[in-house]
Amino acid sequence: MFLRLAWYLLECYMRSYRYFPPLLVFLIGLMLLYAVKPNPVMESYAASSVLVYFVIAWIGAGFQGAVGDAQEHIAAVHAGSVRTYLAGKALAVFACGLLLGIAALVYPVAAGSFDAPVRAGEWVIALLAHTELSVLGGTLGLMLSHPVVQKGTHATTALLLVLILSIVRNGVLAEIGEGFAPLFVLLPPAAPLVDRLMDPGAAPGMRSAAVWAWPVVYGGALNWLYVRLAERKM
Amino acid sequence: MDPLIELRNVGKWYVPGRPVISGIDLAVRRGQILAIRGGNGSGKTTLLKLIAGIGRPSVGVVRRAPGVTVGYAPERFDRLRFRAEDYLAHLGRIRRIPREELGRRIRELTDLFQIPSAGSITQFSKGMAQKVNLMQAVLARPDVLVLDEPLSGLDAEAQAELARLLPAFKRDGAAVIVTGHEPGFAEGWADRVVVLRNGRLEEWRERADEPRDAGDPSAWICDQWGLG
Repeated sequence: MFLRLAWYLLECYMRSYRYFPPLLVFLIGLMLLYAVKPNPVMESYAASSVLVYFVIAWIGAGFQGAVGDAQEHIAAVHAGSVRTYLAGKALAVFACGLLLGIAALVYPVAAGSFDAPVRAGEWVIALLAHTELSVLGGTLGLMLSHPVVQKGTHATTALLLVLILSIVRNGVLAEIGEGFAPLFVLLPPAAPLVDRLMDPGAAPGMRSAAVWAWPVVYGGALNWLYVRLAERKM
Repeated sequence: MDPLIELRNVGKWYVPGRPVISGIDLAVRRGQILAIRGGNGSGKTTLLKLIAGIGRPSVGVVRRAPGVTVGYAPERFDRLRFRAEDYLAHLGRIRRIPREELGRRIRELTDLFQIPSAGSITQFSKGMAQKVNLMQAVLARPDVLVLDEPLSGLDAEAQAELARLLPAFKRDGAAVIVTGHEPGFAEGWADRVVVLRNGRLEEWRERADEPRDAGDPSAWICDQWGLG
């Protein structure tokens, strides 16, 4: 059921051509990133994971517009419940994120853009980071758009603000002081993942495990909150 | 007869302190056409969405009998870039209708509604799109058919054509819930008329005769439009 629903929503999205602007930005971003050769593997993957994070948030935010309110209601009735529908919609967005992530991993290898072959461990870490960031970004896009945030300008502003702050968090804190850290505690844990990609040799331990586990917990909680809020607003 | 869907003291608000509907008690029974009348902004669509299971009430309970299926046709039908048959096939698969049965049902409906197999729904007229809207609502032969202003924006002929189908759904044993805002809407043919005013059910009228003796909605439409 979820797969059929997700497939239907993906087809709605593809037929609406709303994928074109984010896909174009994604492709141009990748090409610019690897315009000069050779490139360091993990630092490049860190940059492409940020690109996936922003683009999938854009796709998530645009999904509702591709389907429309009335068709969302119709699909929810056929799916049996609004929760089932919302879960199917999230699955469709995550599928897009996974495809973008795989494209971001494979493109530089296929284009011969790296200064060294990608090792198995690097593949795993890069895939994990791209997947986790695409789930975080996709959920943020769904969360900060209609029907949860009704006004388009508010939704776009909030989404951009959260995306940017979650990436530049450490830099901002370095400027304004660590004392302001509690203000940023609710932001998606995107920056630690990117930092981890930039420093693949970091010693394993509890702190390192938390960097990978916390986005999963955060993404799960954010999805739960999204379904609750969207269900109430639909 | 136990109701298929029952609403008890149901209220809904999107902004706290500003209820769209409140204190709604309503029972939907098999073989009954229930008409909900009310002006713009009276809360008809919100009430229908709750009956159809879209969203939850802010207060109160919406109880559905076990195994009851619902079909829902919203007032505004966003036209997607699908052929009508492909669109219905997607929704049927989401409903888990077996493949062969789904194919048969789609052919049956496209014949009944005379929908062309070629061309995207985006190219359809409003009347044709509204037919696709109704087709998706009845696709799974639901027990409860919820239609939000199905006659809105259609010309007299299309209205009469669509309205002729309502008693047919009822004869199949479904409950039909339909909204409208025109004065006198449904007076002659619905089994029960409920009026929503400012989000509350202020009055209602139930026909004294048996539901199956209810009149033909197309006659009312012809009368409204001065057709013979």
